[in-house]
Amino acid sequence: MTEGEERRLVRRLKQRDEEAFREVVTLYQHKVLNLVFRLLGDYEEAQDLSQEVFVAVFKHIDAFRGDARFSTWLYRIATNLCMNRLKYHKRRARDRTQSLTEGPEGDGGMLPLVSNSPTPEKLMAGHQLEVAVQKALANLSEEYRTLIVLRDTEHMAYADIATITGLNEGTVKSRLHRARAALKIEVNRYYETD
Amino acid sequence: MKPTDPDPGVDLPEDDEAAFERLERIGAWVDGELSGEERAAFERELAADPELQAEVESFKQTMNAVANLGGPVQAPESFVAEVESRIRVRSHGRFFNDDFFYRSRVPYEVFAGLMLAMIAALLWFGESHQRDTDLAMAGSQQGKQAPAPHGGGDLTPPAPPTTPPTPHVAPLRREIVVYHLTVSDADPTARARALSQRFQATDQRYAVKVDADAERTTLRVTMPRDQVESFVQSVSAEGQLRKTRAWIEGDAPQTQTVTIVIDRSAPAPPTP
Repeated sequence: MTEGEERRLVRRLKQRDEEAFREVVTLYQHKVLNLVFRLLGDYEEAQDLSQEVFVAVFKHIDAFRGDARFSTWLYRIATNLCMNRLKYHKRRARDRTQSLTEGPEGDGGMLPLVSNSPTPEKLMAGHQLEVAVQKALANLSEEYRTLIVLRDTEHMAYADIATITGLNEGTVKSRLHRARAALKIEVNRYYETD
Repeated sequence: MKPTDPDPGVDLPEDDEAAFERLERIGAWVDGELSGEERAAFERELAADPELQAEVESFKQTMNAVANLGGPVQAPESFVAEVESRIRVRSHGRFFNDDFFYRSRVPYEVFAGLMLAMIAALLWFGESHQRDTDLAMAGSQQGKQAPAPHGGGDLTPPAPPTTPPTPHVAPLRREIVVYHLTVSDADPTARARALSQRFQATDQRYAVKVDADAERTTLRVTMPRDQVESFVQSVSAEGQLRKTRAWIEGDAPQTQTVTIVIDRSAPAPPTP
C-alpha cells in the first residue's frame, strides 16, 4: 500500500467508513494474528486478542496522527496488548503458553515446519529444536520475547521496531543481542535437562 | 515499553555470565554489528577455536528455527465478521457512520415526553402566579383581607404584571405601600363621576377605571409611583384611608393604582 493510499484509508477510517474498516481487517488480519500468536504462543488466545487489536484500532483511530506508518501503529497496538496479556498471565501465575505445535483447529496437529532437513533424523532434530525454542521464548521476559519475535520472526526493520516498542534504534539493537543470547542460553538449558 | 525502561536482563548463574557475553558477541558478529577491529579479532579467534565454531553454528541454527517458528497461521474466514460484531456490540451499534445518526438520535417518544413535561411546568407556573395575583386583586377591590401571596398578612400587591410569569431562581422581594380609600355616599355613581372628573382635570390626567354595582362604585386610579403620596393626600379627606404593606417580587413597578371604593352603606368618615 502506498503512502497516499494509506492516508486515504486512514481518512475513511476516521469518518467511520465501515467499508474501510473491513478493508483494514482483511488486509492485516493474518499479519496481526501471526504476530500475536508468536508472542502469546496460544492460537485461541491469539485469535481473541487479534480481534481486540482491531477493536482498539477502531476505537483510537482519531488519535492516529500519521507520524508513523499505519501498519507500524497497528503492530504497536498489537504488541502492547500482548505485553499486557503476558504480564497478566505472569501475575496470575498461569502459564497458559501452549505449544506452538498445536494447530489452529485445536486438534493438536502440527503447524507446518519450515525446515530444509530432508531426512527423518534431521526432521526430528529440527522439531526438537523448535520445541526448545518455543520453551525458551516462553521463559524470556516480555520485552526480550517481543524484540525477538518482531525482528527474527516477523523480520521487521529496526526503525519500525523502535517505533513499536518506544525504544530508540540503538537500544533495540543492543537489547536484541542480549535477548538472543538469553534465548540461546534457555535453549541450551532445555537440551541439558531433556 | 518506554525508552527509559531498564533492560529486563536475564537471571543467570555465574558460570553462564561468560557464556552470555560470548553469545552476545556471536550475535553481533552474525548481524555484522561488530566494528572492524572487533570483527577481525573475533574472526581470528573463530578460525583457531573449534568450540567457538560449534557455538556459532548452534547459534545460527537456533536463530534459523526462530525465523521459521511454527510457520504462518491463517485467520479463520469468520475473522472479519467477528471483529465487526465485536465493534457493533461494544458501541451499541453506533460506531459506523451509515446508521450513526439514526441510532444516536433521541427517540421521538423521549422528545415528546420532555416537551409535555415542559408545557406542564409552564402551565403550572403560570396558573400559580395567576392565582396569586387574582387573590391580591380581589383583596384590593373589596377592601377585604386577601390571602397574603408571599406571606404578608393582609397586604395586597399592586397591579399584576402584564408579562407572562417566569420562574426565578432567587427573586428579589420589595416592600410597597398600597392605599385603599373607602368613601361613604348615598349616590356612589354620582360621587364617582365627580371624583373621576376631578382626577381627569388635573395635569397628570390619571388613568381611571370604574366598576359599579348597586351598592358601590370602585375607582382604580393609576399613576406614576412618585405621585401616589401627593394624590393620596389630596383625596384622603374624602373618606377613610387605609394603608397596607405588600411584598412584590422583582423590580418595583413604574406605576401604582390607588383604589377608591364609594360605598352607599359604608360608615361616614370621622369628622376632623
